[in-house]
Amino acid sequence: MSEKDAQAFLVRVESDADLRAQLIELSGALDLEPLVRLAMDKGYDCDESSLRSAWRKRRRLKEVVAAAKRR
Amino acid sequence: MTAEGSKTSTFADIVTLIDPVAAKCLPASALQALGPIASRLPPIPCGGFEFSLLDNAPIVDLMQCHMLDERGRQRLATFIESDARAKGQPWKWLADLIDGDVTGLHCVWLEFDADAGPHAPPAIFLEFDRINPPHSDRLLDLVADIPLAAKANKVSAVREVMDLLPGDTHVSHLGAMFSRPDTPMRVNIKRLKSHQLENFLKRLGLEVPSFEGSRLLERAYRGTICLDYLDGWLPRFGIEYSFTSWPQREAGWRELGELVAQGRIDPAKWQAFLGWAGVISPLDSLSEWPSSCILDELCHPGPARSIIECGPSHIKATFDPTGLQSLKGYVGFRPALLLPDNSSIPGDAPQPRPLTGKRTLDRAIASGVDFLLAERTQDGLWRDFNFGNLASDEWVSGYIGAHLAELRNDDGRHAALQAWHILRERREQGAGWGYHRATPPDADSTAWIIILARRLGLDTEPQVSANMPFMAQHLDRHGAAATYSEAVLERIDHRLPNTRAHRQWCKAHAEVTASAALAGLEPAMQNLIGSQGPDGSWPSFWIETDAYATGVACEALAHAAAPEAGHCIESAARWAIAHVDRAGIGAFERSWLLRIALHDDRFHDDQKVHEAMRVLLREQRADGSWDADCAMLVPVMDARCEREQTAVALDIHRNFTTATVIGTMDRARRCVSALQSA
Repeated sequence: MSEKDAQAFLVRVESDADLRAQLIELSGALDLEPLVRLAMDKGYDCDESSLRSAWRKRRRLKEVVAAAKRR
Repeated sequence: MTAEGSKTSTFADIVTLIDPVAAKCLPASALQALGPIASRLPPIPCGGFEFSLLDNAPIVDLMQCHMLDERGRQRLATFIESDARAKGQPWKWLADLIDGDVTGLHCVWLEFDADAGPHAPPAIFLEFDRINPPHSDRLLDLVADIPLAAKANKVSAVREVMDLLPGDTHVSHLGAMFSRPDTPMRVNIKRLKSHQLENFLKRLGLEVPSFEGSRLLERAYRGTICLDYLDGWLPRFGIEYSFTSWPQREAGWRELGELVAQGRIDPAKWQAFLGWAGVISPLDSLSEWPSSCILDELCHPGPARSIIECGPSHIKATFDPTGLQSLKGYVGFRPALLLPDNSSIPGDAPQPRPLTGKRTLDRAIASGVDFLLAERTQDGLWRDFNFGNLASDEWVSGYIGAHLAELRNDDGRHAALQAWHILRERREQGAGWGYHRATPPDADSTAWIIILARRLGLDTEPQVSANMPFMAQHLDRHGAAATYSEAVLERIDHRLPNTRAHRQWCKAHAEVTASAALAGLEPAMQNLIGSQGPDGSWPSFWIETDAYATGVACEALAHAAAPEAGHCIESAARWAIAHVDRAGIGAFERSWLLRIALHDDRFHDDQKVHEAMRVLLREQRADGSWDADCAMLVPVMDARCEREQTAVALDIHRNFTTATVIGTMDRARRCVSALQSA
């Protein structure tokens, strides 16, 4: 289970509209299991913990970018 | 608190997540008491708390909202199925309800009384669809299915209410308090107007003075009537009132609360209510962010950051025959997505259906009108801008009504007429109108309200002729109009502060001269002819773009007999066509530029006109509105009253911009044949 794979999956989600369309089917889920399954189906070896951690890191990066744009 | 990496599994985790806001406002003991209840519920980050504003009682009630889209129904059904305590008739009824036909239902609120204990069933409220609430038969069927004690009487009571509701008034919520064996029923009603309350209560047989309630309905942005039925209507009614769109709020509700509570509001509770404001980001704590919010962010087609917004929602004043019985504050939190421009949209909730099919002018105007009709206050005026925590109602209603009155749209014209009827009665004859009912009268607001009346064909109404002298008092000897007249303000004993900034409010400005001319003051018309800039524009002072002053000036000059007026309009149209494709302009400015250009036949087939119209069509939001684009600029002094500065207030309700755009589209539809089928 790798956070690197989770990161790669999240990067792909941001740029792949088809993948996002599949994600919409999962929206509203109260845990990340369906997201993990989708990532695994796409060949990314990750679990809920690595996905959460990767998501938080990407989120932190987004905050930095947003703050820089505001300046 | 849940550590990063473990599972966020209950509503209690959400409550922990919003602790940065909650801990400032709610007593720790109250939050602790709610813990066992919250830990039963699923981790859906949408809910709120209710507490008294009148005393320091620590009782706080907890609410959770379940949307009734497909995923919301699934989540609620899973909870009911899996929770060992969610058994018994109420839960079975709710499970059957969400498994069946939910037409006309928007969401379900579960409300837990903290003092009823963690095992007591909640009160369950059905919130109905705002645009298409259920019709009478459907509503009665829904009531008949609820496991209520003495059900037949309660069904009859709802039928009685339905029969008494006038016009577009409708039942917005039905609630059943299941923690009591006699299951009191709550019926909430929206859109009842202030002048209808007394008669409505009387016809229901409720002997409760309605004066204070009417005042709340008249002055708040929105108000909901709450009635309780047990073995008859209980001798009391509640008014839930709010100001502006959530989560932004203006300060008017304190004033209204004081009006009915007369010094009884507990200052600490009021601070708690107002302090319930903020944005929670996943980076604010180590707690797990709700999975539904993470998915929401990932699904969004553009850049967006998931947040939880906290804000005060509404206040509920309950009256019985002795007067005010209680005053409660409701605060809430909900998931949202923060967009790159720092605006936010609701998250984890059904979005308005995107506009589909070919965008035509007819459809765009019709959905814009629908938006404006839905945005009206309880009594039928519009509100917009938020200068000094005070939204304009009179000026804005004159402007929006004047735009609707010109449309070939019966609903729009009817709404404009309703607004005129309210404004006509608002102030003494000939006393003018103002930015808001509480602000002194000014020439610009008065002009727009007279323009509204004239466009409705009501030139002969006494309030029109009586206000022409009021406006004339704001003209200087050259015919230029100022917003405020020092002489008038002195006479009515309503002077402005004596500062450099406020003195500018009494100087003549082109857009006020233009609105005075459009309202029919001939000297103002003459002034416009002589004051046009060499580039063809007139300068705006109060509004950020010169397109506004120039546009209103052209509207006025189009009615002028003098041949110079025609030359002025041609010159303005050339100026407008040169600017209409400028990069970075928004819908308000583009609309006024387009409207100016349309005064000149030679530009009707200009590609820039057609492209500008396409952009406007493209920019319409799913709810029929356009993004707020009108910036009002107001000179004010800084807090220490030392330096002059400019306060900027946007039309946050989007009413002002939307009215402007649909007015321009209607004009285009009428005068450009190629656009009639666009």
